[in-house]
Amino acid sequence: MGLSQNGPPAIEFAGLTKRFGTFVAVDRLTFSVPAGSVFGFLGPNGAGKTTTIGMLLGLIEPDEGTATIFGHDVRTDLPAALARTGALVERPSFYPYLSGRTNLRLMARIAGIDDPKRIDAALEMVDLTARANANFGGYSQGMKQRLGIAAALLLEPDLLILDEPTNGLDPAGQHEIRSLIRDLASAGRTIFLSSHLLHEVQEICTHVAIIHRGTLIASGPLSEILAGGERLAIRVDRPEAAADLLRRLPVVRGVEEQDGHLLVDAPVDEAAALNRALVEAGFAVSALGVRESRLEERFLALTEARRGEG
Amino acid sequence: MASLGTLFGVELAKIVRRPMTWILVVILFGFTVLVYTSLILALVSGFEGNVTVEGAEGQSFEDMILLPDGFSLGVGLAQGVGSVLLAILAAGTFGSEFSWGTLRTMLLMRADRVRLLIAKLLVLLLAVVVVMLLGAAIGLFGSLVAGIVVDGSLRTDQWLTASFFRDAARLMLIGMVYSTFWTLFAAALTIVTRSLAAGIGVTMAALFVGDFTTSIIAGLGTLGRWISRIFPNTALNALSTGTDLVATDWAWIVTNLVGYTALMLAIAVVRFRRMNMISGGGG
Repeated sequence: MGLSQNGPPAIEFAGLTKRFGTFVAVDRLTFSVPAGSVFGFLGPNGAGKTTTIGMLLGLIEPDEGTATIFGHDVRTDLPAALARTGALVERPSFYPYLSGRTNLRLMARIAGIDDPKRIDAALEMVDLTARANANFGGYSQGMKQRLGIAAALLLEPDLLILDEPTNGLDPAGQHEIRSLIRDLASAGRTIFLSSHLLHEVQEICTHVAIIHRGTLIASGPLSEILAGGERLAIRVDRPEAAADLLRRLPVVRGVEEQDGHLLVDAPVDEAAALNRALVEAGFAVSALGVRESRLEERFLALTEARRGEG
Repeated sequence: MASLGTLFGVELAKIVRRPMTWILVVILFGFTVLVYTSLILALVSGFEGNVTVEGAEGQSFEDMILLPDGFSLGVGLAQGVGSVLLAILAAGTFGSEFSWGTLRTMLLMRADRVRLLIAKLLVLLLAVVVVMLLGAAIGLFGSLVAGIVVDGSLRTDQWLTASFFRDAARLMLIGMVYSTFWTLFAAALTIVTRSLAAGIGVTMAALFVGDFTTSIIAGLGTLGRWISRIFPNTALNALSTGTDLVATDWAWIVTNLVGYTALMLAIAVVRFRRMNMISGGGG
């Protein structure tokens, strides 16, 4: 997988806004999704993720701003914008009285796909061939989700938009979908994935954007979002007294006790100095290391900071 | 982007495969056959002396089921019962898709909204034609059977004439106009409300309560008659039952029905084009 440096971004939002009455669901959203990336679109439930995706796909009319897909404005040139795009939005929606295969066949006709092999290939890709002739109404949640992805894949898209694709799935189902997304990404597709499952995003995404109450609060490569969030993890005897000592040091921004460790918010290259201070004060330090920042922590820090501002 | 023909084909495939369609066909077919069978049995019983339908009353009863008039019974049932069933079908065509979210899937497959709406309405129009043909076929067949039962003949001299076919075509055309109107009404209402229940419920109310109300209003003198002419029910009923319509009658009937139809189509298109296809509740 590699990011394409040539051509327009896969997706670009510029001042995108949607209001429902007086409620602002999406507020002047501006960011771009590099082609070839696996992009995580994060936000708590009700943050405006699905509304944003709806506007991107022409399912909801924006009030202001623009959204483009590979340079095509979705408001003025929706067919061109959708020409290279496959999507699964909200929940997989098909006719319950038709089989998975017949549903795909109808969708293929609408999309102008004549080759029945494309339907077989899409079913194969999501591992649904064996149950393709059963009615959609009798599918499990995981099978429905996979059929939704198969429909999106029918279009052989360069950009795949997946809105909460693991919603309602058991851990095995979630793992399956994540593996599928990795496979699809490794084939060079751009994946735009909305989720509120942060560990899932951290596991598979190269870039992220975080929205909260319709407003963008961070976006960029995952490594940049996580940068600066590392903490020193110190295992020490008498942790409460050690924490008091550490808090008095000027380089320490904060100390928190977690899982038998002290998590110290301080520059990583100050680790030796902190160790020396603890040992000289008579503490026994049994372990000292760097705790990588987790997306969950960054997300909570960013959204809580925004909540404080509000 | 899919052509109108492709979308029509897809919509037709969906409606043909949908169990609800066949349930409605069975109801229409069963009800119409039941009416003819009951009337034929009543005629047979009457001739055996078990039913006292005699004289002018008996003749009128015979005329109702024997050709040429017997044909209009089948078409009338298709118009009356068929309109109710078609309204349910129309509301189901849009209402179910809203609740299943399948319109969204179709749009993601690059279907154009206006073409999709037109394709759906054309399929419903085809359903109106099929219902009317079904009613006509049952009417003709039932009346032929009744003729054989009553006097052992097909009574070809009574109906194998140009005037019979001219009248039959007129009846069927009026039936189609009537059914198309209520089908479109139910479809437009379901699109506006996004609710299957509202689509069916309000259409039934407009059809039945509307007929009742307009007939009461029409009974309130000249002003009442003019006010009743604002409602489509009055125009449709005048079209269905009127035999001595003059040019001015035709003028307001056509104006009324064309006006309402254009209004419903415009509302449906505008609403459908701008409709939010995300059901909400997501992040």
